[in-house]
Amino acid sequence: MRTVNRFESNLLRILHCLMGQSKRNQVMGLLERPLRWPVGLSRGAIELVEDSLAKGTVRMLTRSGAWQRERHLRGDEVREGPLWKRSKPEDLGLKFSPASLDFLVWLTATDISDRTKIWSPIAPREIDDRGKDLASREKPNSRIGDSRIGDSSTGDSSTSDSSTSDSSDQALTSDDQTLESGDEFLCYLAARMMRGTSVAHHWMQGEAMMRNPLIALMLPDQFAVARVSPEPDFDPWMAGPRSFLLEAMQEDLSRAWVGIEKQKAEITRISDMVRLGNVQEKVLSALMDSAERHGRRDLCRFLVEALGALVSPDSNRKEWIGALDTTGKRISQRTMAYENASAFLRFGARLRNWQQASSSIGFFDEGYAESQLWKSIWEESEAEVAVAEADRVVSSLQY
Amino acid sequence: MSRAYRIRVSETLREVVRAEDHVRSQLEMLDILPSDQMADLLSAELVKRGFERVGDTAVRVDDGTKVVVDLKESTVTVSRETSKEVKVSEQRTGTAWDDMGPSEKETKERLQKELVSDLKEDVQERQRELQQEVTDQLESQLSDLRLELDQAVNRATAEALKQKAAQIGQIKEVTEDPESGSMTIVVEV
Repeated sequence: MRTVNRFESNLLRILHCLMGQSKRNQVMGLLERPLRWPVGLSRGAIELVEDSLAKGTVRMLTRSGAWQRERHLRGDEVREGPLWKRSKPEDLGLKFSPASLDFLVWLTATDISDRTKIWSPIAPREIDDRGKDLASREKPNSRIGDSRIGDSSTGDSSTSDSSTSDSSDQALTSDDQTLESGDEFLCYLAARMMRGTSVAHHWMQGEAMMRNPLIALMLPDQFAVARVSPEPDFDPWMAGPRSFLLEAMQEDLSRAWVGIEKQKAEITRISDMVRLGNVQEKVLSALMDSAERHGRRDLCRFLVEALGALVSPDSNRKEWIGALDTTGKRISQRTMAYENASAFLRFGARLRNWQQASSSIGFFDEGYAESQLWKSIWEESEAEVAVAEADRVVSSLQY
Repeated sequence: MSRAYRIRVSETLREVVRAEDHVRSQLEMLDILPSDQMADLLSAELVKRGFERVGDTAVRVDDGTKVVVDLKESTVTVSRETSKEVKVSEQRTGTAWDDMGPSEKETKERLQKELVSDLKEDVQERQRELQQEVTDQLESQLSDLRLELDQAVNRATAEALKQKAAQIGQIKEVTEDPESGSMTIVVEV
């Protein structure tokens, strides 16, 4: 049994909420009435954080879709099965750096409604300023270890690999400000928890959120509302643990984009529509460019599925611009609004180009496995029909 | 005994108001021949319809509406702009007393400020009216223009098909149905 102090207890409750184990309103009080930044955290608290991260991420990603029997690329091969069968368990670990712990401490010690505060990953000099006392305490602080998606057949859903405790303040020092895969996932969970609130809109202005590809993919509308242009770099997400996140979250991604498109029917202001369309265009262009460069079009399967769920022979332009107020607006403003309303649908043409390119790749050509996988995704999703319907709606939105 | 002063101010505002609107659209050109040849065919059709070839574009100005077809990108931009000098004048009167309330000078300044603000609002209203006029005029021309451009694209496409067919073999027969817009080419290979 471990004993934690009040700060650590609040931190753990917030973490459990991020992990989906409680509702936002159960921790809002903790987030709005912060406690003083601690001198240090106990060993027991660190271990509980590690344990929550390890088990929580495994549980969340398994529920999201890691359990699904899917096909994805591994090098030049197509592998089928749940995520832990497609890759070795030891390769699946999400890495959490000290930045994750810093973020959790920041959430617990900061009044999130304070608009002057935005979290940023710790730099070594900041650690020294805050962490000098940490170094001098007898009780050491250990480094956050790895969380892994394990083999469900053994019933052991996670392993947590904590390093041995290290009393030097280097244990909480980041070498640089680059976030690890687990850190980015944690940031995404926080943004998701606060979605739709002014807090989230404020957080989107921070670099950590702006550059987070998972937030850009799952919550592009939050950037639009915050009037911030995200800057995601998807290249690191085309391989390794980050790509496994995308694989596991294909259904979540599809649902997110369908939801965002359906929201457009309620948008009244042209400026709001234009901002949303711009963000969508930027994010999807960056994702698809990266997928092309790295031969990972399979990671864009959710786009095909979202299109299929959105459009039908009965779809009409009102579902995108039905509430848009164009009274007294110039034609140029209206066309800009309509173009942005159809921002997502227009990517159907690019997906079709992928299909056509895939059909021309021969057995001995580079990218054969990728092309075959894409063709099967296309056929199983009946994407040809969906893209044709999307084209029809796009045409109806043109002047 | 207090004395009342009647204060009268007048102001004239003369400004040039501008209004502009435009729309940009994609032409559905098929890549039957290489893009530069398709561009030339489209250009030839547009020239027949009063356009002028300017580099990689074809331009026509018709009753204040400018149509620019980008032959390389297969886009068309239709724009209309106008400007007009607007003159608005008004007078305003007010009263000031010599023993209480704002002085004559202050009253005059206040009236002047209000008058200028109202006149600027009038000018803006004129600008909005002019803008609506431009938008309505542009909108009224779009459907005819779309038809005309579609016809030009269809003719260019038909010509491209004939040229492509001639590359494949000897054209024996060409039949065109103007009603349905269909064309049949018989080629001996």
